[in-house]
Order: sequence, then C-alpha cells, then structure tokens
Amino acid sequence: MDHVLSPIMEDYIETIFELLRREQVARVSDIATRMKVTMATVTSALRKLSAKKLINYSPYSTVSLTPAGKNLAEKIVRRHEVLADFFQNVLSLPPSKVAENACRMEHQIDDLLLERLVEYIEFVKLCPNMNIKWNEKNGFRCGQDENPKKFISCEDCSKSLARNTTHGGQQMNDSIGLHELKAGGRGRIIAVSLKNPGAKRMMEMGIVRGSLVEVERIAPLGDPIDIKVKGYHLSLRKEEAKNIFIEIM
Amino acid sequence: METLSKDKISLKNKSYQATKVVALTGNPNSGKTTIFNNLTGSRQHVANYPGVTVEIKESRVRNGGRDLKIVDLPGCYSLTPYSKEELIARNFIIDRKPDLVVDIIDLSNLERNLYLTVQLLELGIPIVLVLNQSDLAKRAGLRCDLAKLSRLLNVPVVETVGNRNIGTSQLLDTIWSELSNPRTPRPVIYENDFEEGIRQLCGDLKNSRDSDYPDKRWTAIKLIENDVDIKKRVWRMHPDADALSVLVDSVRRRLTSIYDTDPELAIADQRYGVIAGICRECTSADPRRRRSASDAIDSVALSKTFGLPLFLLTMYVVFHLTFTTAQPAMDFMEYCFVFLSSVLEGLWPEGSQSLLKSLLVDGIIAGVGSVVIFLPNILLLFLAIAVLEDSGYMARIAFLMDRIMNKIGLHGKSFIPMLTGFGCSIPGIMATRTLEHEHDRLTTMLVLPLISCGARLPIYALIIPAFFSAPWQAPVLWIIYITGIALSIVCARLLRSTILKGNQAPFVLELPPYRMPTVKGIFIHMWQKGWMYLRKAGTIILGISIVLWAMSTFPKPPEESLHGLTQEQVTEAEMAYSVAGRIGKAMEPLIKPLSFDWKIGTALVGALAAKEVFVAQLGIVYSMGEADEESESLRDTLRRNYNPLTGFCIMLFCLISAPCIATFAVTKKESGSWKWAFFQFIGLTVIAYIVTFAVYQTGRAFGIGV
Ligand SMILES: Nc1nc2c(ncn2[C@@H]2O[C@H](COP(=O)(O)OP(=O)(O)OP(=O)(O)O)[C@@H](O)[C@H]2O)c(=O)[nH]1
Ligand SMILES: [Mg+2]
Repeated sequence: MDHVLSPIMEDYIETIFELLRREQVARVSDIATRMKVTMATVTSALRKLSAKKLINYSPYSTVSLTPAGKNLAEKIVRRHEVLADFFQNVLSLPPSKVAENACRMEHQIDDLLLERLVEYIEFVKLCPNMNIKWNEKNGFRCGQDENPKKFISCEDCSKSLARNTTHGGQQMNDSIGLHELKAGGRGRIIAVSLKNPGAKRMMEMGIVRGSLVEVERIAPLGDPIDIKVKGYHLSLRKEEAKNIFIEIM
Repeated sequence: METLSKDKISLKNKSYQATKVVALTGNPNSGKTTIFNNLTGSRQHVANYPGVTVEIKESRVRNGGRDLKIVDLPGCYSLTPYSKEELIARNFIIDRKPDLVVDIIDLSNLERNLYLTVQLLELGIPIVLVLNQSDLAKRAGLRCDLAKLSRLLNVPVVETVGNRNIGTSQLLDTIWSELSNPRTPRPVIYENDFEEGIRQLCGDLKNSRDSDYPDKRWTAIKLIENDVDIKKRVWRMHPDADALSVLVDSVRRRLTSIYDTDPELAIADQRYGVIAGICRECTSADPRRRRSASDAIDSVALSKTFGLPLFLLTMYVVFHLTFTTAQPAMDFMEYCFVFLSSVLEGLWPEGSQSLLKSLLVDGIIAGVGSVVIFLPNILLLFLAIAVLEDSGYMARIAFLMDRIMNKIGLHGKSFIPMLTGFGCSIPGIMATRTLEHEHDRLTTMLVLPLISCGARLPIYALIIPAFFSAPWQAPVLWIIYITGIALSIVCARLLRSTILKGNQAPFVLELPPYRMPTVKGIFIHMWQKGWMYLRKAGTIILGISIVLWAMSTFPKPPEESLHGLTQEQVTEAEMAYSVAGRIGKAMEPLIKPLSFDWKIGTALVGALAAKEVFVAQLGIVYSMGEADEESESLRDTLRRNYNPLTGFCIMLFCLISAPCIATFAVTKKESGSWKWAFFQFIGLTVIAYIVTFAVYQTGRAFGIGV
C-alpha cells in the first residue's frame, strides 16, 4: 500500500535516511538542527510517522527506518537525484539553485514522469553530435560551438543532418570524422567528442586538438585503422574514430 | 604524545637506513624490463609489444656495500589507470612511495612519453629521466638537448640504449647520487583557471606521510580529472568529505563551463601543449626524414592483399616448425631412451621380477623419458613464439584480427594472451590483465585453455605419427589446433551473449616499430622455456611417474590366482589388480562410449596434474604390459592396441578437457573467485565429453578410421 505523505513528512524520512547513512544514527536533536525546527515539532512528526509504520521510534531513543520507510526514503532520494541531474546537466542551472529546486520538486512528481525524465536525460546526453549545453550568450547549444568559428545555425545543422550523415557533407562545415578518411589521408584534429568511453585514453595518448593525424592504412578486413599521430602508430576502431573530428589538410 | 612516539620511530628507522626502493616506470614497451635486466642482471621477459610485463618484479642490487631494491612495473600511459596492470603500476607508486622513480622514456616517441612524465613531476618524488631507445631516435633524425631538458624539469637525465646495454653504469651512478641528494622536480604550471581550481582544492587537502594519497597538488589535479580511485581514497581520509566533494564538483563545473569540455580532456590538451613547448625547446628534428623500414614492412605485412595470407602463412610455419622440423631430433631422443632402457634391463638377469628394475625402466624411463623426448618440439615452439614477440608482429596480429574478434564479442587485444597460450596457458591468463573490461577479461581467461598449449604437444606428437601416414600428419595436427580455436570462439561468443554480456571496450592499441629479434634474446627465451620444461619433467613429472608406477604395480594379486596363465595374461591380470587398474576399470563404463579403455582412463586422470603426464602414464602402463623383454617404441605399441579413430579421440579429449591444476589455480587467482575456476574446469570437461562422444560415434557409424 502506498503511503501518501505530505512533503514535510517526506522531508523527515529523507533526513532520517541521510543521517543514518552518514552517521549510522539519527537523533531527534540532529533531525531538528537539519530541518531547522524545534525538537518538539520533530517529536510530534516522528510520532505520526511511527503510527504509519515507516519508522521505529519511542521517546528518548534514536530513530530507525522500517523496511517500508527505507523503501520510501530510497524512492525520494532517487527522485531528488534524477531531478538534480536534470537541472544540472540538462538545464545547466547554477549549483545553488539545483539542490533548492530539487528539494522542492521531489515531492510532487510521480513514477511515470520520473522515468520519462530519466529517458530524456539519457537521450540528451547521447544525441549525435549535440552534447547540448546551456550557454549564457546563446541559450541552448550543442557541442559544435566548442569551436565558435565553425558554428553553423541550429536550423542548418539539423537540416544537413537530416539530409545525410554518410559522406562528410556539411555536417560541421569542413570537419569530418576521422573514420571517413581514406588510407593516406591527413588532417588536423579539431575536436574529440566525449561520447566515447575511450575518449580520455585517446587524448592521453596524444589525440588532442591541433595534433596532426594521418591514416596509414585500414586493416584488410576493413576495421581497425592504423593512424600515425605524434610520430607513432596507433590503431583504433572506426567506431572510435567517428568521435574524432578533423579538418582535412 | 602520539606524534612524539611516531617521531621517535621514524628517527630510529633513519639510523637503520632502510633499503632504498627505486621504481622503474614509463610507457608500455619503452624498455623498462630491458633496463631492469641491465641493472639487476635478471632475465625477465622482454618482448616488442605493449603490455608484456603485467606483474611487479623486484630485485636487489648490491653496489659498494649499499643495498638497493629495484622494482620493474607494468607500463602505463598515464597515472589514471585504464586496465588492471596499469592500476598495479600506479598503486605501487602511490602506496609504496618509492624513494626514487626512474621514468623510462622512449626517445623516438618523446611527446607521448612525456605525458606520463608530466604527471610524475607532480608527485613530488625525486625522478630520474631515462631517454631510452636513443639509437632509434638518432636514426629518425631526432636530437635532444639533455642538459636543457634536465634544467627545465629539474631532474637528472640519462641517455641509454637498453638492448645494447649502453648507459647502464651512468644510470646507476645517477640513481645513487640522486638518492643521496634528491632534488624536487619542477611541476608544470597550467592555465590560470586550472591553477585557481588546484589552489582551491589544495587548501582543503593535507600533505602527510601516512595518507592514502600522495602530494596534495597531484591529488588535487586527479580530483579535477575525476579519478574515481583517488576520489575514494581522499573521501576515506578526509574529515569533511561532503564539503570537499561539493567543492570538487563546483571546481569541475566552473572549468567545464570555461573550457566547454570535461576538465579531464581540457587538462590533457594543456599537458600536450606544455609538452609541445618542452620539445620545441629541447629537441631538433632532421627534416630529411626517410620513411622508416618499419613502415615499409607494414605496407606489405598489413596490406589488403597480403595481410591475411601472410598471417596464415606465419601460423603455418610456426606449426610446421614445431612439428615436422622437430621430428628427426625427436626420433633421435626417442632412440636414446629406448637404448638406455635396454641397457638398464641388461643389468638384471632375463625374466627378473626385480621391483627396482621395474621402477627404473617401467616407471622413470618410460614416464619421464616419454616426456623429455619432446624437448625439441617445445624448443622450436618457443623459438617461433619468441620471434613473433620480439619482431613486433604480435601487436599486428591483434590489428589484423580485431575485426573477427569483435564479431566474436572479444577484443583484438585478446588475441595476444591467446597467442601466448599456444606456449602455455598460465602466462596467457596472466596477460589478460591488459584487457580493460572485466567481461572481456573473464571470457578470454575462461576459453584460453582451449588454445592448445605446449604441454599438449607431446600428446599429439606421440599419437599422430603412430596412427597417421606422413601426408596426413600435418592436416590432422591442423584439425586439432583449429578445433581448439573454433571451440574457443564458439564458447567466447556464448559467454559474451549470456552470462558475460556487456559493452565492448574501445580498441586503442599502439603498434610498435618492427625490430630485428636478436639471436641472444631468442636463445635466452628458448633456453629458459626448455629448462623449465626439463625441470618440470625432472620434478613434477618424475614424482607423478613414480606415484603412477606404484599405483600400477601394487597391490600384487595373490600368487595362486596367476597359476596356469601365460606370461602375457599374468601381466594383464597384475595390472588389472593394481590401484590404477581398479580406478581405470571403475571409470571404464563412463569412458567406453568415447572408445577409451581403462589404461587411457588412468592416463587421463594423471593428465590433470600436468598434460604431459598423459604420455608418461601411457608409457608406464605399456612398458609394464610388455610381455617380452624386447623394448619397442611406445608408438608401435599404441598402433597395435588402438585404431586411428581412438587416437584422434584421445587428442580431442586431451585438447578440450579440464585444464591442468596449475591453470586452475591461476584462473582462480586472476578471476578472484573459485566460482570461475570451477566453472571453467567442469564446463570444459563436459564439452570435451560431448564433442569426443559425437566424433567417435559418428566415426564409427560411418566406419572412418576404425
Ligand atoms: N632499438 C632499441 N630497442 C630497445 C631499446 N630498449 C629496449 N628495446 C626493445 O624494446 C622492446 C620492449 O622492451 P621491454 O623492456 O620489454 O619494454 P617494457 O617497457 O618492459 O614493456 P612492457 O612490459 O610491455 O611495459 C624490446 O623488443 C626491446 O628489445 C633500445 O634502447 N633501443
Ligand atoms: Mg616490461
């Protein structure tokens, strides 16, 4: 049976949960300090929660959560985290506002909205070449204006994406993915997308903005490619090379 | 009070002058192990592909009455680790806090190697910079101003050529002078925004000798780089982890918005910027650079037309060498042992029932001898592997095969442990440490015993010539090896799509330049492996042979039950009465459908200890069973007793079934759980049973090889 609790009561549950997690014990006095209320207020709230079998509480002892209470607490925390993620990483809210808004909204949203939100966050993080971020000057923009000179308007970009993504084309003016280079082709790296889990390792190995790369050859079976960067040979899969944008020289 | 007593202890330690620890670190394949061997006189494995060393190796050096501990570490590209062996190297440096770090740089590849150096400079530990492979750099027309580099970074710089042992004594001198008079390296300075962030975090960290993390500047930078492991260490130690965590987040967020990319990537950019500056200051390149020989080889060896055929040809040559070429030498060794046993037998009167004679002739010579005669094959196999490893072709194989491996659900790099597995499964399983993803690693480890190891070679070398005529010998060997490879592919595919699902790790592999393998290097390698094989024969296999001989001899049947039997029937009856006979007989119903009799059964049990024991045990059983005193070679005996189909089934079963005990133990250690070791052990045995059963029954039904 779902407990329908008021936001305040949910905050109590959350506070107790946090205290238990950090300090292994939740005292009435600590709860009062954290929630900025008097001990008497806390006591009366705890009684209500105890009546709903969400916590174990008897006067002058410490407080613990029942399994149902713990369950509820985890749900609330998750809602909080998803919202915070959304505010911070999708909407780029300033950090001070993130926690504040998340605390306020976490009590209001239901499971369906929550899951949609999760899906949306994932989508925005993954959307091809977008890497959407808030930018104080231009509003929401994708990763392409890492290099402002190469910026093309969002309308043009989406049109050209729709038209073709296969052959270089106008994706980002004259930048192409490294995987599109033929054997013998050379270029200068202008950006490395973060989508690839290996991005950091590649950068540590010298695939950084400004480096020259040359595709030495493509493996006989068509996949990994052998590139020369910083004077040595490195082999990469095309899948990884897709995330390295170069301008042809 | 407490601090006081601590001070006392550290003072005390000082007066004892604990042995200084010097760690060798550097990018993979930069020549660390080569230098380690030069410094310490050891013979650790050196080869020309990244990721050869996967364990920490230590050795002591005495020099003028002073003691020094030198440690060889696995290679790493950065101090933020990606795979297990890199983590081992990184953790050694920050946990064991060596007194000095020797950073071995591949001078022909200076820029990328300095990336690690830049991070080492931040540690605050004294560093000696070694510019190794300076011969290659010279050939490529690169000059480096050592004095300037040394001044810029405030570290001593030494130039070496590892494989020719040039510069070793100078390096040792530098190590000593640096230990007695350490300098603090000069860390690089980042752009203002970064420095601001670093300052902020440093204010919240403490430098202390017994903390879990090293210097605070280094730690602050790693926190900005979002190094998960370092974060955990700091959280554990820090009095107010929450506040620090919030601070780190805010610093990272600020940097993200300034640089418009993750701080860890922005910092990589900056480091390479700094490095480019250093290189501009200290090096000059000869503009008339020739195309290197290595590139010329690759333009054939990796080309569309020749790449794959050359690979197959190489593999063919490897097996041809280990099998056909070794044949005459092996025949000769076999002849020697037959001769030896007939000489020994001559010491006793004809028909003697002496137990000692039986132990010597039937136990030790038949057991150990039948294993030792395959030494030539083993030597040639390791010769071939050493050439592949030292030439640099190994990494190319990973490059050529990645597409296929990818289809199987494995990583191209998995091919390197697998190739190593042709020699022995144990180093193969250890080599899986270079695989970044746990599931890739486990899968490779689990299917690796299916790659036919050197210890199984004697089994094939015994059986194939016994049952197959010359033109068929090579193809049959190929079928066995390929069956192993095919099964490992099928199993890997199955594992990856069921219990070991997961994303593919990115394939990022350095292809080192080709090098001419040195005769000395190859011989050392061959000698080591050959010696190991002989030592195994002289210890484990000798011991087991004696045990197996005893088991096949005792208990003796009661005298009266043997009355009226011919000599041949007596030996048969005696053997059946012995412990081994009884075990074999008990197994017989189980292995009958595979066409195996009880003698093969006992040999299979013995093979669990080491695969070669299979051959030893057959030698023992048949040597005892010989009714007449004429020694005949084991092959002829086998030919008389079994048909080719059974021979083939034996090889198949030995190929697939449970790996030897040592492999089992290594799988347990590397996977970290008994679960996987048992899974591998039982799984493989079941597969072996099913496959052999199917092959035998089909063969019999169609009358092939019976
Ligand atoms: N030309 C040349 N080759 C060298 C030099 N030093 C080492 N080598 C070769 O470089 C290859 C790699 O040497 P290792 O000592 O195995 O390298 P490592 O740094 O221990 O490599 P990992 O264990 O994989 O990290 C071997 O083939 C060596 O023979 C050198 O100064 N010049
Ligand atoms: Mg090494």
